[in-house]
Amino acid sequence: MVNPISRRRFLRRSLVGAALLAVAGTVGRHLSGYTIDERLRLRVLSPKQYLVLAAACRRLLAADEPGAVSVDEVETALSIDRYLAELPRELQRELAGLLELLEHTPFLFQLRPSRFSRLDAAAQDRVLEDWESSRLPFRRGCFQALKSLAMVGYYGDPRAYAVLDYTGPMIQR
Amino acid sequence: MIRSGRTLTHDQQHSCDLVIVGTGAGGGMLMAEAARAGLRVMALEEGHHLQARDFNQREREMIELLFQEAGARATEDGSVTVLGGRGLGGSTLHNTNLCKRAPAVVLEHWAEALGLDGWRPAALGPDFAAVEEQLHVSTIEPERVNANNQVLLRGMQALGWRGGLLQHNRRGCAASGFCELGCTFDAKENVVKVLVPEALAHGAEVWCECRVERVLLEQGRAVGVVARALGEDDRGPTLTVRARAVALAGSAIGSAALALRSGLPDPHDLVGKNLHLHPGAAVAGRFDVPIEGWMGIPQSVECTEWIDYLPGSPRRIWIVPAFAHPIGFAAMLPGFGAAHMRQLRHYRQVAVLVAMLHDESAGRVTVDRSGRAKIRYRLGDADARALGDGIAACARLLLAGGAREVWSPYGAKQPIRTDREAQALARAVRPLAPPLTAAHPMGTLPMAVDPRRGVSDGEGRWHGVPGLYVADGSLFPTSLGGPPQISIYTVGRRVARTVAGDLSR
Ligand SMILES: Cc1cc2nc3c(=O)[nH]c(=O)nc-3n(C[C@H](O)[C@H](O)[C@H](O)COP(=O)(O)OP(=O)(O)OC[C@H]3O[C@@H](n4cnc5c(N)ncnc54)[C@H](O)[C@@H]3O)c2cc1C
Ligand code: SF4
Repeated sequence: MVNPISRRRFLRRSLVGAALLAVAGTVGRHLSGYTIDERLRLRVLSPKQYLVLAAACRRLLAADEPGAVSVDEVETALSIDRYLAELPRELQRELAGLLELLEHTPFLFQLRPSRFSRLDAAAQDRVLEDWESSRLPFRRGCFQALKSLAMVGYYGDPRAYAVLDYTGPMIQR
Repeated sequence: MIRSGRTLTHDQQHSCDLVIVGTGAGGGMLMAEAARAGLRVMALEEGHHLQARDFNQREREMIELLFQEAGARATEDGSVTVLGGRGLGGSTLHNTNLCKRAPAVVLEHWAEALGLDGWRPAALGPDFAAVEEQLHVSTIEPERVNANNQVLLRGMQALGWRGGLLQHNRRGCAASGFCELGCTFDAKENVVKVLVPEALAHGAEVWCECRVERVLLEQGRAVGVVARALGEDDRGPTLTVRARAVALAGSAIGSAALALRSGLPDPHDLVGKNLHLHPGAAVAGRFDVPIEGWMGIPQSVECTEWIDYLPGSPRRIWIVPAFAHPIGFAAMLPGFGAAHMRQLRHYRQVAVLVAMLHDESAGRVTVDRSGRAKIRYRLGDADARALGDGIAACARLLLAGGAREVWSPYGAKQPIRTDREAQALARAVRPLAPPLTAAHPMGTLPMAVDPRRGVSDGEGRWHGVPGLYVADGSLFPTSLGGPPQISIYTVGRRVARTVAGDLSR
């Protein structure tokens, strides 16, 4: 079994990571435009973090592949919020911080006046590829953590099994 | 009787002869054997009391239910995911039931280097045999070797490498393949099925959903523990248990964290250090035919070509199959997006092997301000080299076993199609980018005859603190190099004898 969350505590450990988190938090504090359906009743994430996560999941999972159930249909980001609720508080905070950092990566790393959730799909892919192959271990770590969360949220739902041809549980409970 | 902390409405005090913290392989065996020896035993477990009917084979739900920190526990730098169980039975609830005695070479080394003569293979033999009989250990029948394991057999045959069938503790197994998510068919001959009934029959009392917060010391002697009943908000009533003896059996992570939280005497600064993990790297091979690795007994074959257990040896890799259900598998595959999903479409035709390191690198468990365990661990150069060899060996085995191509998240070149490319993986894997996975934490309260080198003596007695014992994987002074549960159950059995003897004096 592979851990659904990995490489995430680097943010606390690494000075660069901590500084970036602080800046990301400050940059984002006064930005608006993050509204979600109130009925979602998020347990851990803020509406902004939720929307960033949902945007990342759409790219990480590419569930627009033929035959695959869509990321939104599975409510991947909501499912991840529920999962996060089971984690220790310190971990919850770190993962929420990671999403803030992702959102403001275009500004912090590329000096573009934009946010991850506003980029088009190709540009979002480039940000994620940058993180995945970064020379900075903490950014690679961010990527692994995000990807693992996406897998928990999506492949934890039996509707996603079809694409794998996975038979799933033998029993119905 | 099994009770739940959730039923506590106010603080309570109890007393007994022996209170045990944690009910995994070590604590579960200690509980049964000490109760059988006539001691009044109480065991406190932070997890739930789960039974076959609670296991619904749904990966996501079971990960949350069965694993510490919902499966998200990892080293501080995120480089190793550290899996551990939570629940009555600890990791024996969801382990893959492999049974193997600690290698003789390792035990002889402990005796020579640390004076642990009682741990020589000949001295331990009767205890191992008794544990194996109790847990109905047998060799896995060749006809139960699933397709993923057949690949390893074929690979070993083609390459002329050492290995063979493993032993397990299952009876009535439906070969469902869901071992790591708990057994719906109650086929695991583990703590819950074998040892809890034995303990209860001899009057033991078990409290689940109670987390021990600290060990009580009075005049240098261990006299009990204070536990917190876990409810909705983790601020439930306390359960204080006063006892003539206290045993730590919360796993190498949990016991070390408890020792640190309690400020237990540690004059030589040993507590929490010497953490070994057996970190493992997975490698996948795609075949032209269906493998359906999630079905059948997950691990039945081992390859021992790359391990000789000798201290300092470069050959320190134990190879076994390690197929995962969808979440685990998808997280392990390299890449993301459409390319990632296209690889996942081959899920049915993929076999996975894991190179598990008999690690000499030593990590450390500490606690944060809230008392939660933190894990530091860095692979040393020699270990990273050994792991590189192991990853290459897995790739070679998969190709020799008939894989059309191999995917390794640890090498730049993808996919790998020839033996030469597979061999090159040994050099391509450093630094290890994706996280490794570890399921066998050990060594954080190690034993040694000399108190300057070990926290406890060879029988689990904490040096210098009467009444305090260690009875889990924390005791091992080095990594084992193979599945540890039989050795940890054996620890429980030996510590039971020690406590019973000490208390009768
Ligand atoms: C996925 C997986 C597969 C495995 N497969 C195998 C295998 O095939 N063969 C093999 O030999 N080994 C296997 N293992 C390892 C083996 O199961 C463990 O090494 C063994 O169970 C460890 O025993 P332990 O007594 O040290 O701790 P554990 O079994 O981990 O039990 C510790 C218990 O203590 C409880 N606890 C901790 N702290 C506290 C506290 N403060 N208060 C109350 N309770 C507490 C925990 O909740 C837990 O239930 C596997 C492990 C995993 C995770
Ligand atoms: S393979 Fe056997 S032991 Fe494992 S879960 Fe299935 S029935 Fe239980």
